[in-house]
Amino acid sequence: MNIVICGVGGQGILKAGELISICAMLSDFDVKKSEVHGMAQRGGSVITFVRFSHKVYSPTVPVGEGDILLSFEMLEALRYLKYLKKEGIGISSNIRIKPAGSSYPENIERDLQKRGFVIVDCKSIKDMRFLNTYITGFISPLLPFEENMWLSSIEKVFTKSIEENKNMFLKGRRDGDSLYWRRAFNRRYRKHKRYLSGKEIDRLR
Amino acid sequence: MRSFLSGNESIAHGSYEAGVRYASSYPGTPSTEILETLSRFPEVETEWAVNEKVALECVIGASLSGLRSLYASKHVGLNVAADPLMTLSYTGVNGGLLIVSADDPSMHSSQNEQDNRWYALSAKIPLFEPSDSQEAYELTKLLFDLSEKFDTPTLLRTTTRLSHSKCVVNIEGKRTEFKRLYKKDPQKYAAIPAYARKMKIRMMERLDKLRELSDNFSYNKIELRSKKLGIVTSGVSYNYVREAFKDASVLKITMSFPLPWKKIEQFCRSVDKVYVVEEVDPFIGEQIKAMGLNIQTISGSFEMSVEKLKKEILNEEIPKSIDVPVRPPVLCPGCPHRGVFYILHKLKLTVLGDIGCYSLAVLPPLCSMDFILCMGAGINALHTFSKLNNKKAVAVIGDSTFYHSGITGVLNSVYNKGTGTIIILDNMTTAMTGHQPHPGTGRNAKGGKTQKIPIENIVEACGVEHIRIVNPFDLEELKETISEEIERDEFSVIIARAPCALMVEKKEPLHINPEKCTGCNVCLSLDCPAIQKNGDKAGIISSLCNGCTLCKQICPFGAIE
Repeated sequence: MNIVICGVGGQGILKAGELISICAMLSDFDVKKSEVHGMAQRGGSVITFVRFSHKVYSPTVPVGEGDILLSFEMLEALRYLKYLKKEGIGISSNIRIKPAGSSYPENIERDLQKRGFVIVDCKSIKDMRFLNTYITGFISPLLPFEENMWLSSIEKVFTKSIEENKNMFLKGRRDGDSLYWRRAFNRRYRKHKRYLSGKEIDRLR
Repeated sequence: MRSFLSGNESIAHGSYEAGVRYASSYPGTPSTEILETLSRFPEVETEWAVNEKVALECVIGASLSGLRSLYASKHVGLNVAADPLMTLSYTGVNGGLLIVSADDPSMHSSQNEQDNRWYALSAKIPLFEPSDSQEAYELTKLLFDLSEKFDTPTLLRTTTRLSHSKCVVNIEGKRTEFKRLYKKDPQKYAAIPAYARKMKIRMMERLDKLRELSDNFSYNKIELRSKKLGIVTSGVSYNYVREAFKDASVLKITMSFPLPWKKIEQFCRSVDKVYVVEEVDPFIGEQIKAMGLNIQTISGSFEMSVEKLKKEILNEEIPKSIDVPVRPPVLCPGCPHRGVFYILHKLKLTVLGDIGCYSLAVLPPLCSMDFILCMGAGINALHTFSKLNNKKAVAVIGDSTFYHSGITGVLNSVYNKGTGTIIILDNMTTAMTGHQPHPGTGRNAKGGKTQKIPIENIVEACGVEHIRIVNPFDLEELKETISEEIERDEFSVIIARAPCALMVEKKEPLHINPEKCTGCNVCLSLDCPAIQKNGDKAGIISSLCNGCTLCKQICPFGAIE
C-alpha cells in the first residue's frame, strides 16, 4: 500500500505521515516512511511517502504506483499527481496557498475533480493545527486499521492537545466515511475497498 | 522492542548500546538527529562542537583516553574534519571510534552532493553502507568492536533516504559499558615523520586484514536468483534493486571498502550480465572495473530510485510531472533576515553569502545574494574581492556559521588590512537545522547552561575597530548603517541582531487598509509569505503575519496598519 502525502511546509504533513505509519506498525505491518528535512520546511513544497505491506523495500513510492495521493493543498496535488496510479485515489483539501512570485492556476478545483480527485472542504476548520488529524481521519476509512488503533497512534504521535486531535480525527473519519458511502457507486472506491478486504489484508500482513 | 526509527535515530540507539561515552557533531542536514537523539541518554556526554574539525578532534581525544566515541556530520562537514581524519588513520584508536557521514544525494539541503566514500579509500579506513534503519542499528553496534579490533576509525556512510526514512527496528535497549586504559605510547600516537613512516606500514598491513574481513563479512551477501541478471549494489540502492528486479541475483555490499574481491569474482562468474548500482559516484563500480571484470555502472548524479533503475536497465520511460508554478522555500514571516536583504537589494551591492536560512535570499524577488560556496567562504572571498578591486561589496554570514568558520576570516581580514564590511545575521540560534544552541546562546547540547560568548567580544578581540550592532527590523537604521560602513576604507562589522521568528511569540498581526492600498506592489518585494495579492490590491493573511512591521515601513501610502 503506497500513500503519498504532500502540501506546503508548515501544514503538518510530516505528522500526518507519522500517524499513518505508527498505526500501520501497531497493526503489524512492515512500514517505511520517507521525508526530507531542512530547507523543505520553510514554506516550500513538501512530500512524504508512507508504504506498508508484509515487506517493504524502497522507502520512496515509485512514480505511478501511489494507491492514495493525499494533498493538503490543491496546487501540490497537481504537482505530485504523477505518483498516483491510474486507478489510485486522489484526495485534496480545498486550501489554496499562493506560491511566492507566481500566480495561482485558475479552475484548479474543477481540474482536480475532472481528474477524479475528492476535494475535502477544510476551510471550516477553525484551528489549522488540526488540519492534519482531520484530513488523516478523512482517509482513514480507506485504510485497513481499526479505530482504536488510530486513537492509540494519536496518543503516541502527539504530545499536546491529544483530545482535540482525537476529536478532529474522528470528525474527519465520519465526514470521510459518509462521503465515500454517498459516492458508494464510485467504482474506484469500491475497487479499493475490495482490494483492502479480508484476504487481501491478510496477504499484505 | 519494536520501534519506528529513522536511520539517524537507529545510529544513535546503536551507539548508545555499544557503550559510546562521548559524541560530538555540528548540526547539518541530514545528520542532525544523530546527536539530538543521543543527547537524551544521560550516560552519553554529547556536545555540539563549533565546527566539524573541532568535533572530530574532541572525539579523537575521548578515544585516546580509552572511551568509545562517535563523530557525526553531513558530507561537507567531513571536509572540514578531513585534516585530523587523514592522520587518525595512521595513529589508529584506543577506544572504538565511529565516524558517520550523512551524504545528501540530490542536494535536498546541501550545496553539493559529494560522495564521501572516497574518504575511506583515501584514508584507508573501513567503510560501511547500511541499507535501512535496522541494519544501521546493527552495524553501528558492530563497528565499535571492529574499530578496536583492527585499531582503526570506522566510517559509516548514510544517504538522505536512510537518514530521514523511518522503518520498523527491533532494538535491544541494553547498554554495555567499555573502557580501555590509556598507556603512553608516542610511537603509536605522535605522528612525527620517523614514527609516521612506521605507522604507514602498519596501516597498509591493517588494510590487508580488512580485505580478508570484507570477504568473510556476513553483511556482504550473495543472493542468487536468476542467472540472467546480476546486480551489485550498496546502501539504500539495495531496496530499489530488490523492488525493481525481484528475480535478479544480487550481491549486497555492506562493507564497501575494502571490497570483498573474492565474493565479487564469484558473483560475476555466476551470472550472465552484471550491473553495479550505487548512489552518486561509481565508487564500487570503478574498483570492480579495475579488477578487469566486465560490468556496467548505474550511478552518477542524484538519488537512485526504482524508476531510474527501470529506465537504465529496461529503458522504461519515467512519467513526467504536470507543469505547475514552482514553490521554493521562503524566509518565514517575521524573519529578521528579510529586512537586511531588502536593503542590500535596494543598495545594489554585491553580496557574498554563506550557508544558512539566508541562502533563500538568492531567489527573486529579494535576489540579493550573489555567491555561496561553503561555510566561512563569504568573508574571505570578500577580502580579495573588495581589497583588490575597490568594489563596494559586503559579506553576509549567520551567527552559528560565524562561530563555525567566520572567526578566522575576520582575523585574517584585519591582519591583512581588508577593506570590506561583513554583516553578521545574529538570530541567536542555528535556525536552518532546527534551533540547535551555539556558543552565543549560553546553552549546550544537553540543554544545560554554559558561558555565553557574544559575537561582538570576539570581533573586537580580533582587532576590528568598527563594530555596529543594529536592529534588523528598523529599515531606516539598517540602511544608514550599511551605507556608512561600506563608504569606509577599513574593515568593519555590522551585527544585525534579533531572535529567529520561530523562537519568539508572534506580535499582533497587521492588516492592509483597502481604501488606502493602491496596488503598487511595493510590499510584495519583501517576499513575505503573509502578504498576498487579492485582486488588484495586497492583503495580509493574519494567521501567518508576525507583526514585524517591515511592510508598514515601506508602504508608500501608509496603507498598512
